[in-house]
Order: sequence, then structure tokens, then C-alpha cells
Amino acid sequence: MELLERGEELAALGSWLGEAGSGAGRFVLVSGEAGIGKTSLVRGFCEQHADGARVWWGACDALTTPRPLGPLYDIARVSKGELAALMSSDASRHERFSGFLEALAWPLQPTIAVLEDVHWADEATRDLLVFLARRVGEVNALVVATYRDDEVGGDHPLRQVLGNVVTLRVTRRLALSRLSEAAVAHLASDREADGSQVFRVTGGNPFFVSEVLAVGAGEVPQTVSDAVLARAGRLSASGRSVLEAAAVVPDQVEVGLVHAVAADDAEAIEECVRAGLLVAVGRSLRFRHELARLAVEHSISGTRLPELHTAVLGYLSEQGRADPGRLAYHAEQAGDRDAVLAHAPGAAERASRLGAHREAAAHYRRALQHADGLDPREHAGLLERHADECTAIDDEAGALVSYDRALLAWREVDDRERTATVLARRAYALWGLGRNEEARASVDEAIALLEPHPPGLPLATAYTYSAHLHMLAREVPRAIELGHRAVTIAEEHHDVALVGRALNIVGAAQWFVDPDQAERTLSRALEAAHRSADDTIVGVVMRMLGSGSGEVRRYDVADRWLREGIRWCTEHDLDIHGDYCLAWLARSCFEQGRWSEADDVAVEVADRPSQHAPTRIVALTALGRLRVRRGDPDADPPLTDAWDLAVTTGDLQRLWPAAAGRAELAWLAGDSEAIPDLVGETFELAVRLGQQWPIGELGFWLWRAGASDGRPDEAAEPFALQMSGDWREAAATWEQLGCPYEVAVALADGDDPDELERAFRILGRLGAAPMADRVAARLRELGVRELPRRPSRATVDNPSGLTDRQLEVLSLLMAGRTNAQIGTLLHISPKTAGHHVSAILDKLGVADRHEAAHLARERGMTPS
Amino acid sequence: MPTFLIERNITGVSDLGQDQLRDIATKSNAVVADLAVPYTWIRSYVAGDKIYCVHETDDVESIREHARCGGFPADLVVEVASVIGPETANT
Repeated sequence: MELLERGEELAALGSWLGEAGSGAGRFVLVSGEAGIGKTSLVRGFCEQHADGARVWWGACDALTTPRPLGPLYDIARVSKGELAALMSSDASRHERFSGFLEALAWPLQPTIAVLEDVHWADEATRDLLVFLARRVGEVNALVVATYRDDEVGGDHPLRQVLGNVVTLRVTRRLALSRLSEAAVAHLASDREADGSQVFRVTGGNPFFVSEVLAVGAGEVPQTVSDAVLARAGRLSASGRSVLEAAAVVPDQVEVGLVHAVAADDAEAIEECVRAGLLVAVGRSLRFRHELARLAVEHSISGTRLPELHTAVLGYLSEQGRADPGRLAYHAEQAGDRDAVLAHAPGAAERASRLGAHREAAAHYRRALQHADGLDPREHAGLLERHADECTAIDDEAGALVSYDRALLAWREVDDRERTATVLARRAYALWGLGRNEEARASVDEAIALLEPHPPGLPLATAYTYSAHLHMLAREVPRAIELGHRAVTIAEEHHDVALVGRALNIVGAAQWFVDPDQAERTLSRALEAAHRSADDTIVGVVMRMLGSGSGEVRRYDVADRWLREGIRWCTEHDLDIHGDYCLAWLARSCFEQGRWSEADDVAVEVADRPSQHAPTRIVALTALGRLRVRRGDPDADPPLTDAWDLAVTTGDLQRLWPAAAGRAELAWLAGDSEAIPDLVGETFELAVRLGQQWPIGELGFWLWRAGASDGRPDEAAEPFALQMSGDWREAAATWEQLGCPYEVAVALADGDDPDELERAFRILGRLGAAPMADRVAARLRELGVRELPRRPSRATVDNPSGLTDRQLEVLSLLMAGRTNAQIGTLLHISPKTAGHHVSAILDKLGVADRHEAAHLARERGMTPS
Repeated sequence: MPTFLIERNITGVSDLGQDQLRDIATKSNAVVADLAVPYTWIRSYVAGDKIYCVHETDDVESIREHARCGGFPADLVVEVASVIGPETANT
């Protein structure tokens, strides 16, 4: 069928290919419902440019568990050369991704790489999409991904990918619409059919239209299935059997497979192709559309279906080198238990190796459903690996069920080491579910099982898990001791990855007792992580170096490692850890008085698609506290959100800064009575865990509110000094740490007019209006007549205390740009641009963007 | 077997380094090996913004297939009608 009403889309694709050809690669998302013509459009486009571009085609398939990196394997098969060698090697996932990107950069002509039906993509392919979108701008390639937007609902895993790529400057989108009634009438008139009737039944869905018209005049089937089956019904018996054989294979169908399963009859295949039901692609066949395949598959009788799958399985098994995921699928559909057990675990291992943990868990689950009567050791192994994969996708509940069953199974066969290892890993799942006491008991039991015997890696693993749980509970000395034991054993057994993990926990715990030692330990952890070549552990250690030093206010170390962590995690697509570092950078900037930077960074993080709770808590807390100190009206919502999230974690490190922010907000509003309720419980928790910084900060607020003495003897030094009345020494300590706001707050406790004026000036520079007002009042009480000008964030250049980013946005806004245009120009999402605009309106105290532009012009700003 | 002359337009091709030229040759050899038809790559000349190639095979379609699989542009494909040289004067 000709391509109707797609002229604009073809022209757009053509111009993006032109840009790609000049070295500015593009990432194109083509979306629309099933049958809308995504594939037809992209195929038509590729055919148009067959002489000017290299075309690579890979498809995700409708197997119940998709092949990990399926499209990349498809492309490697046809591209040959280095990419094919790489894909059949045991290279790491990152090497495969990078190798593909290198292969895309071909000096002779641009490449069009099509990734079809990514709504079915496995976890690894979804990661590949983000990887490509972030880097394709540097190569002469056009990556085109197609997907069914109506199947990608709010909780569909592709959502996360879309959220990550749509804001990138290389991304372009095409949403395909249905055919107009005029276009349908035009097509119908060629076939002498009633155009308006065809339009009414099909709604203008191009595939449905083509199927209805193919049935012929006089008949108008009511559904796509009816239309397809009406055509299929006209085939000969052998043609029909070819079609059925092809229909049970959701991905590519080799011609040899059809011969083996249906009929050794080239004429029957030719008949299906002539009828327009199958399309020949090289040595393979495919249905003209997945909707047609489904219609035929569903029409096959319940007794015939397993026979066909058995035959397909037989053919694929003989071929060798078939994807184990395909074998497992057909084995299950054939109801062949032994074959499922033979292929599903292999499919799971392969998926896990490629980072497709969701698919790995699904394959193990499939194997376990057929595992009754299996050798007990094998069964236990399957359960354990299924649980590990569940842990990798944060499905702790699923992990626990399988760990519990694995535990029983290993105990039954009396395998001490496996029993202990499962007990230790199970503890981690229990902790994730908030069942902390059981978690402790589980890992203690593991250690008790192993300690009477010569130490080996299982014991080192158990010690590591135990150390981690103690560290999370801030039971610091015990965490350090257990971690050291794990390191010693792991070093003896040359397990460098385990050395890295154990040292990371030791270092994390040491921040609270010996920061110098913590930095040294974590440097060793980083070295071990690099040697083990595990990119994730490297990112985790950098994150720990940055946030751990930040928590004890060693800002030079913190800033260095946070920036290094952001760089590393961006390069290696470790978004969760990179975003966490970014959130912490906002907090660090805030505490050091770099408020404009803190504001920009916090807004950026809060807008990331990741909903990772710890990251959001850190970013929202920094943003809320910043607004409190500036006296902005909208401080409460981010602090309340952060607090609510922190409460669900129950962790001191999350609760304490949010509680302190809420106390400060109450105090500045003159509502000191509220403070004990806001911080009391968290303070008790800090005291129980003996953590001096939270004891200091929360104790300070209780002391401020007159509710208690704040336990200065257990508090961090500057807070302790301030509570004991030594404001001068407290200010000096804060100055050394690099916290200007706290310097001013300490000075404000004194009665020396010179020092109070100094505090006033510091607060003025920061733009901390509420605290500055308090200091001014104090100065007036002391009889100082000539106060410096009331400080505000207002300066001559920047009359409203806007951040650098907001000034940029304001100048674009003056030029009449929309949020979408501002987003494009500044490489941020329209939503983020919108947030900046609302913040600007708030700060300028105006109702809309026109007033804002007007005011800015009056103050002499120029548009850009 | 017929001989074909292929003109490939590639901006900046004369600036490619030895490594890139080796990659291109490797790719071409791999595609030739995979074509499953008689096919010989005789020689290519990189000049200005073009590569001029001399290939031997049975038909134009094989030349096109080689170009498609390898990602080589093939802007002009012509069959060589005759080959002449200084010695032609003596025939």
C-alpha cells in the first residue's frame, strides 16, 4: 500500500538525516498505536535513502520474556565485522554499548539504526536507548526507535527511558496520526469499496484499512482479526499450514524453520507472500504486521498449538546457537517440562550477564514453575538465583519468598556454606522490607554457622552483609570490626570486588569516628573497585566519599568527590548514584553559602525522572532549607515532602536534616513552641545512635526553644560551643568549616555591636532576610542608631536576588520565548523552564510573565 | 566476468587516515567474502571528494548489494565497455 499522509514525517526524517550526516546525530522517537504505520513509514524512509545511508534494523519481539539486547544482536548479524565479533564474545555490557556506538560512526556515509517496537524492549535494551540518546549527538548516525504509545502507560518501564531522553537536545519526536477520511476514500476508490463505510469500521487505522480492502468489495469485516482471517481462509491447505507455523514464532521466522515444521514446499511460502500475509526479508519471513500474526496464532486450535511449538523447538534445538530465550519460550508453550528446565536457566544467566535482571528473574521463575521433582541441589540453586535477580530489581518481597524456599532446600541437603550465604543475602532483603530484627537474626545465624570452620569467602560475604546492616543502623564500632574481618578474608582469597565492597562499608562507618581514616579507607576501596573493573562499585564508593565527608562538613573533600562521582556516573549511565551525588552537591553548596548554585542544582535534581527516595529527600531538604533562610514564601512544601519521605525510611541520616529545616522555619516564624514536636523524636534517635552532628543540630534547636539543654557534651563542636554560650568560639569554628550562615547565627547570640554588624553584613551578602531582620532588631536594642542599609538579596545588577539560571530565563522571557523554547535553548525540559519562570514571578512579586518582562525592562535588563 | 567502475561521493575522503582506510578495506573484504557470488575488488583510487573503484562481478545488482551491506555510497555504477592504453595503438 502506498504511504499516504506521511509527507511531513518523511520530510522531517530526511532533514534529521541530513543533520546526522554532518556529524550531529539525532535520536528519533516514532510513536503511535498498533497498525498506525510506524514500520511502514520508517521502511519507506529507509528505502528512499538506501543509496545515501547505511541501514541497520533491529526489532524487539513479543516473546513473553524478550531476548536481552535482541535488536543489537539482529544488527550485529547483518553488520558483520567487529560488532558481530563483539556480540558473540563475553564482553561486558558497557563494552557492547560502546562498541555499537563506535560502529555507528562510519566515515563513508551516515547510518540509520532502527530499533523497532521498543515498548517490548528488555531491560538491557532500554538502557541501551538511554546510552545512545546521550551520545549519538557526536556521531553521524540517526537512531530511530518506534513504540506503541497507547501501550506505554504510567508504570510501563519505557516511561523512565522516555523521561530521560525527551529533554536531550538530540531527541526528535514523531507521533503518527490515523488516516483522514479523504485518504481512506482515495484508497477505497482504487478497490471500488465504500470509503465512508471502511473509514467508519477502521477509524482510519492504516493497517486495518489495508486488511479490509484486501478482503475485497462486498465484505467489510468488523475487526482486524476478522479481516486477516478472511484473507488467510483463501489459502490452500499447505499455504495455511505455512502461515500457522510462522504464527507461533513471535520473532524472525527462518525459511528453513517453515520447511521443517510445515511443509517442504516453496510454492506454499510463495502463496503466503503473494497473498500479502507474509513478507520475505533475506532468508527469513515475517508477518506483514504483528496484529496479523496474533490473529492467526489465536485461530490455531488448542491441540494443534503445542504440536507446532514442539516442532519449532525441535528445529531450533538442532540448529545450535539459537537464543536460549527463544528455546525456553517454545519449550513452555509446548508444555515440555524437561526442555523448559534445560533452556530457561541458561536464558536467565545470559540475561543477567547483560544486565537484563527483570528478564533473568522471569526466566528463573519460569524454570521454577516446572521444577517439581528436580534434583534438590539444582532446585535450591534455581531458587537462590531467582532471589538474587529479584534483589537486583528491588523486588525484596519476591526475593524473600525464594530465599526462604532456598534456605529450606539447602538445609535439606545439609549444605552449610550455601545455607549461610542465603541467610546473609536474605538479611538484606529483610532489611529492605523494614524487618530489621529478623535481618539481624538471619545474618547472625549465617555467621554462627560458618565461624567454627576455616574462614572462606562465604564467611567474608556474611561479615560484609552484617557490617552493612550495622553501618545502616549507625552501630559504628561493630560495623568497622566486622568489615575489617571481611576485608582480611577477602584479601587472602584474592576476591578484589569483595575487598572493595567491604572497605566501602568500613570507610562509611569511619566518617563518624575518624574522618581522616575514612578518607584513606575509601581511597583503598576505590582502588579495589577500579581493579575489579566493576563500574557500579566505583560509582558507589565515589558517592560514599562525597556524601560521607559532606555529612561531617568536610566540604573540600565532599565537593571534589561529588563532582567526580557525577562525572563517572554520567559516563557510565549510573543514574541513581549520579543523581544522588548531584542532590548532595546542592546540599553542600547550600551549607557553604553558595545559594544561587544550590538553588539551581536542587531544582535540576528535583526534576529528574528518577524517583529514588534518598535522592529526592536530599534535594528537597536542601531546597526547603534554602527557602527558609531566604524567607521565601514556598519553603514549607519541599520540607514537608522531604520529611514524609524520610519518615518512610526511618533512617536518621534522612530524618535529621529535614527535621532541622522544619525547626528553623518554625523559629524564624516566631513559633518556638512547635520545635520540640518537630525534632524531639529524631533527636532521641540520634542520641541512641550517638551521632554527634545530628545531636548537635537538633539539640541546638531544642536548646533554642528552651525545651532542654541540648546535651552539649555529646554534640558536634560548634553546636556544643554555641549551647554553652561561647558564641565567639562557635563562630570561629563555623568559619573554619566554611559555613557563613552559621557564623552569622553564632555571632548574633553575642552583644558585641561590631560582631553583630559583621553578622548583619554576612547575612546581607547571603540574602538571608529573616535572620538579618533579627540581627537588626538586636542592634537597635543595643542602641545602634545608624544601621547599615537593610540587607536583601537586592543588588544593583540583580534587583530581586534571582539565581544566575533565573536571570538567564528572565532575559529569554523578556524576548517573548515560551517555556518550550526556553527549555530547548537552555537544554532543560519545558517543565524545568516552567519551574524557573514561577520562581521568577514569585521573587519579582508579579502575576504573569508579561509583568515580569515589563518590570525587568524598567530595571534596565536587556532581553536575549 | 564484467568489470564495473563505481564512483562514490564522500566529502573529505582524501583526509582519512591510514587506520580509517584500513577499516574500510577490511569491511569491503568481509562483505565480498559474504556475498556468495563471484566478486573481485580490483583496486580503488581515493581522489578529491570521491573514491573510484574497479570491481569485477556478474551484474550491477551485486555491486549495489556490496555497497548496501558495507555502507559504501555508490553514486554511479557503470560497466566498463573496453580497456585501452598506449599499447592499444599497436593493435
